[in-house]
Amino acid sequence: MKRAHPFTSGAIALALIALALILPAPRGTIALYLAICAGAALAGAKRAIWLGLLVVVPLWILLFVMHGVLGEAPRVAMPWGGTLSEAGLAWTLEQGSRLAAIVTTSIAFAELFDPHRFLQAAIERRWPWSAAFLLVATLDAADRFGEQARRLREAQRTRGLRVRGSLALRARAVPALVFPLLLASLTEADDRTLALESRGLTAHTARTAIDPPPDSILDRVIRWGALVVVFGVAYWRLRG
Amino acid sequence: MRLTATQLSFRYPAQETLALNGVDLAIEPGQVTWLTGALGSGTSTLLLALAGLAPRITGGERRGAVTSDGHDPAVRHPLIDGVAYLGASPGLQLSGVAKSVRDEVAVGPMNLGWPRDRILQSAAHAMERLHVTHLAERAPGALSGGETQRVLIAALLAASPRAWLLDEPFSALDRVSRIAVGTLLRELAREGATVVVSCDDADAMLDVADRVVVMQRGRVALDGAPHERLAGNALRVAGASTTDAATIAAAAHWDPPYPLTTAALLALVGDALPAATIAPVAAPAVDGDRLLLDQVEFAYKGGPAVLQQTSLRVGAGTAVGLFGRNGAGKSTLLRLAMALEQPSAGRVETLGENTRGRGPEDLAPRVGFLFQQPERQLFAASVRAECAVAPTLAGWEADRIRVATEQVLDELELLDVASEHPYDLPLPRRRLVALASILVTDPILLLLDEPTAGLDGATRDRVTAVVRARVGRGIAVLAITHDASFAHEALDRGLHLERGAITSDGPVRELLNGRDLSRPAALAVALHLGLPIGADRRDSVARVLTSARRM
Repeated sequence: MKRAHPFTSGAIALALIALALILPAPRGTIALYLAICAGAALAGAKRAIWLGLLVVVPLWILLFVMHGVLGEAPRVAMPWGGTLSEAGLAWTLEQGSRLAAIVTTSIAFAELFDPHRFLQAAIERRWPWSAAFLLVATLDAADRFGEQARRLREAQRTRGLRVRGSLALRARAVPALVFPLLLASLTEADDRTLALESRGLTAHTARTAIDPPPDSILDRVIRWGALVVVFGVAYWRLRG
Repeated sequence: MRLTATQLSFRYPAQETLALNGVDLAIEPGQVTWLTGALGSGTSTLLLALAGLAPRITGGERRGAVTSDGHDPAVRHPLIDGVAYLGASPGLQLSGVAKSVRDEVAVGPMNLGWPRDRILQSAAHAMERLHVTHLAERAPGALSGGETQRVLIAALLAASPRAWLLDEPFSALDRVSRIAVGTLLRELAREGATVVVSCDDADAMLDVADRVVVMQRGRVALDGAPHERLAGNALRVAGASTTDAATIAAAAHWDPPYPLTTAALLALVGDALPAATIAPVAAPAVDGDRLLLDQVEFAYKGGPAVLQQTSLRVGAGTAVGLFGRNGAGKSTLLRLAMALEQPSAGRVETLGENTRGRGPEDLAPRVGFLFQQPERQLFAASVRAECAVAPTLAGWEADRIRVATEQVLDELELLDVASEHPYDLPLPRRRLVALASILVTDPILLLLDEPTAGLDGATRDRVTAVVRARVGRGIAVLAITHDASFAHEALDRGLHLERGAITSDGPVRELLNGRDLSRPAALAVALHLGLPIGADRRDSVARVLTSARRM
């Protein structure tokens, strides 16, 4: 997947998100989610599965409580006692599996995304530079934020702030980081704008791709195939 | 490219004072113009205005006119217009879109839309001229400060600009790289480029610049040929740094014109005092280990070895300099000493405690650590609050914190900005704030990474005095520096690190031999006169020269 043309991985990600929205839930979307997890693991983005779970599990719990526990009648009895809303449970499964598929796909895409290759491909295709750069900057923001957080955390630790140890200790250290992190990131953004401007990155010029990623026949077949599958499934759903 | 400023005034957003106040200046092509002045004199802002970046990107209010070849640069993009600008903090100048140094160097030409072959050829040529070809496949973010600075200059060179506006381009460079960059600037000017450099290192600029423009409180205070201007008193009166040799001559109460180079100073000294033969000096005795590295090895994850069987000790009351080329592993060694990294083999003992399994918070506030670019690591809402962080975390009482904070702010002359937000200060003063914030708890071991980088002469002297005062009280110091004058004035012992191994260890004056580190004028005179260690620093040498003159 890392060797694929950046537009191919983007097309696959978009197709999977579209399928998560149009496939019949819950069976279709659960199958899709499992397929996405398997694909992410095979593509070397195992971390996306765990990060995805970290995001969606709280959402699943929220959906379960809001719709399953507090949902309307008819209600079904549970083997361990109590009742749950039948429609609410179905809704939880449907939306939960769609969410999981979308979130995991997005994280896997971000994990496998190579900003340099993407920009080179965008330049070669004469895509609008500002749009391509905005996408890269957005996907890169987490890394930059993390790097800035690491620098500040190191500075704070060298002055005696304890951030390791118990959960309570770690929680107490969070506020000391959040505001300075935001401020430092804003200041750094100003400085970085200066740097980008002075390197010609914000100019409206026709750029040259110096290292464009190869776009093989297989890449093009996959991209067209993804489009055909999405439209095929949509047609099938509309007909059904 | 001809650059002009006419009655140029500039005020940053939310600032009351003018950063530039009626600047009139015309900068001609084919020359290296050197901008200098005391902290806050406006040299960096002038560069930004000439590049068209202030106020277009910085915000603020501009009055008067700026032109590059008759056009207002504020309506063009600098690089497209043939103007290369490099800011003072190397870490913030990387494009963020390149995965290797080669790509980073090619970013400018890529944005100019040159043909691919020309880009690759130009990038290769630029890397060769800046001696960074061996770094071509490295990730730009993983370079040392000095390597980053060289790569960034190569990146500008690759775009073949007609005008160069460089803010402190030598700040993180070792001596060899300084000479290479200085030579490059001269060659560029000879080829017809307009070169403007804001820099406080008079010794580095003396033979590079054709013209010096001294700024004072946002105005041009002095303008002329460096050899003429530096030889008089006016530059010093305007608060700018002069050369090492001229500083000593002035301190010795000689009359202008001052000698500007060590050779010229020695020639004059030689007339007044005979040369002496000096006995070899022994390394200062180490008394009690404040820091011990024993056979330490280290490599970053997935990277090559950075340190190999490195051993050193720093005793109480000694100031040790860590010297070496950019990328030699100096900053990594300091990080190991502060327990920010753990050795893969060997032992690191800081204040007698093995750092394995410990973190920097276990060593603070007894150990003070100054990062290489500390301006990016401030986190309090005011300068005063920044200084109060460490003592507060150490559990000090409010009164004690207040007294210590005022004392350190006074010592570093930061009281006037005590209530300001650190990020509202110019970079050099931010660096001083970072230094103040670690000195406030009076650590017994100081680990300093380039403490004088980007500071003007007066501030460098202040930092030197701060270090000496603490060494006199028994505090141990380990400092990385490429500033030979600071090394000589502030440090006692020197270690030379090369490819992760210590290759020399001895009195600092033996390492300031003109090879990796230049020999400061004070030391050259002291060696000539046979002055022993302890009597070879600037003040002592100046006293000897003063009395010799009286005789």
